[in-house]
Amino acid sequence: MSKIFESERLIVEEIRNGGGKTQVYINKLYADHFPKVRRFIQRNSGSENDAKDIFQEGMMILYKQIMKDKFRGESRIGTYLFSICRYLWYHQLEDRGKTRNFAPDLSELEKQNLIFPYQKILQKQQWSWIDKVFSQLADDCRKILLNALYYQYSMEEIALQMEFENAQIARNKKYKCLKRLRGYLDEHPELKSILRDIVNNPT
Amino acid sequence: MENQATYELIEKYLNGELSGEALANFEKRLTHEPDLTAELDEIRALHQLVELGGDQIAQRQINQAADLYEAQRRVVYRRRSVVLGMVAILAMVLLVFYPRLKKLENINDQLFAENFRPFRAPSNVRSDDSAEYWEEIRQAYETENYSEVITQLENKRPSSQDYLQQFYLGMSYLAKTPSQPDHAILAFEKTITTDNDYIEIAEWYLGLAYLKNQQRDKAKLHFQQLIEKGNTYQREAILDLLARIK
Repeated sequence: MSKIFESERLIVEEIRNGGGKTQVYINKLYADHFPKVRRFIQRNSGSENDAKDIFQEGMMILYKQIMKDKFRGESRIGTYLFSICRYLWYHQLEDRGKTRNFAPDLSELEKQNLIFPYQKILQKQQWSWIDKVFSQLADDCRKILLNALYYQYSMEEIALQMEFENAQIARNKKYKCLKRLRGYLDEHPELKSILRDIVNNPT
Repeated sequence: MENQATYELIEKYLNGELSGEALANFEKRLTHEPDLTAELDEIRALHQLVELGGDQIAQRQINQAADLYEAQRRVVYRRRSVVLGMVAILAMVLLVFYPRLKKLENINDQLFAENFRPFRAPSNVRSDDSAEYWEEIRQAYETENYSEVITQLENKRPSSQDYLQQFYLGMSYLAKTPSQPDHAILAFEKTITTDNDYIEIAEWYLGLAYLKNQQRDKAKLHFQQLIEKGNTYQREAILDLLARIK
């Protein structure tokens, strides 16, 4: 990571490690970079609410890139986030059949090797279904599944974090938890069908 | 889920961790074992679901940041609105009252200009050892070099003729350009605190200094008191002023 981005290294590391200050840094990212995106979207046929939606989606993408250790700080966070939002807004306008007076400019995204398929954000109702499923799981099950499959920690790291004796025990626990999740869905075929739709087609 | 070993094999396949012969064998099994293919789809969907669960946590944190940002923005807007409102009210007050105040100021200045004449210069005959000093002041005063008179008088050490010093100080502050009526008021007020021959004269100039200092009401009250006391110095002028100060 270049020296000039050193100040941002902390933010990325804190979010990546899910430390106690994660929310503080997310708040800071929001406050620092939202105004620029809002100005851009409002000058390009968008409303304040459009800007909020696009920025939140952009933040989500950045968050996931950080979590999956794909954001390596080749660009400033603000520059990268703005590029994502511009790219998203470009496609949103296309969906609405509106004229676009700007190019998506993928240079920053390419620099990070982070071209991602354009995908619409999930709706509130869809989130509530997901919430319903995860609330059925015990805390330690939720944690191990997220650590393994979302944050992509190794089994050795998870064993250490969650104080299991070794990686194999962590592996067994993860398997049991996934089985429990599957069992719950099998008992609720309607919910399973809805979630299958969300997973396959989030829009 | 059939068993943990099958699950872990499928997971390796999904993560791209199978290669060579292991990969070939697994793909061959997929073509012959529909149950395995169905299991692969199930596990893929479960993984995707867990990923959405992670996204949801992130989404909550981002929503919280958005709520905080909006709340802070509202506070800033509210404060800004209050300040802007106050500025607008102040501007309106000025817009309404400034011309009136300006007009009054002009009238006060006009009355002052019509009535103010610098009192004659101090006498050059002095009985104490400060005769030479007073002579310098007299010359500066006569040549209307009031700033010089002020400098000399401000630096003079106290003497038995302090009232005279204060009187000419007040006179000079009032006569100089631009005048400093607030300083003149202080000097004249000191002049009239001791018994001396200049009290009535100083009281007249004190009234004019109030007028010049835009203390119209105070000037009016002061002149009324002079008439009630029976002051004779500039009595006609005082009566005329009282008639014109509304």
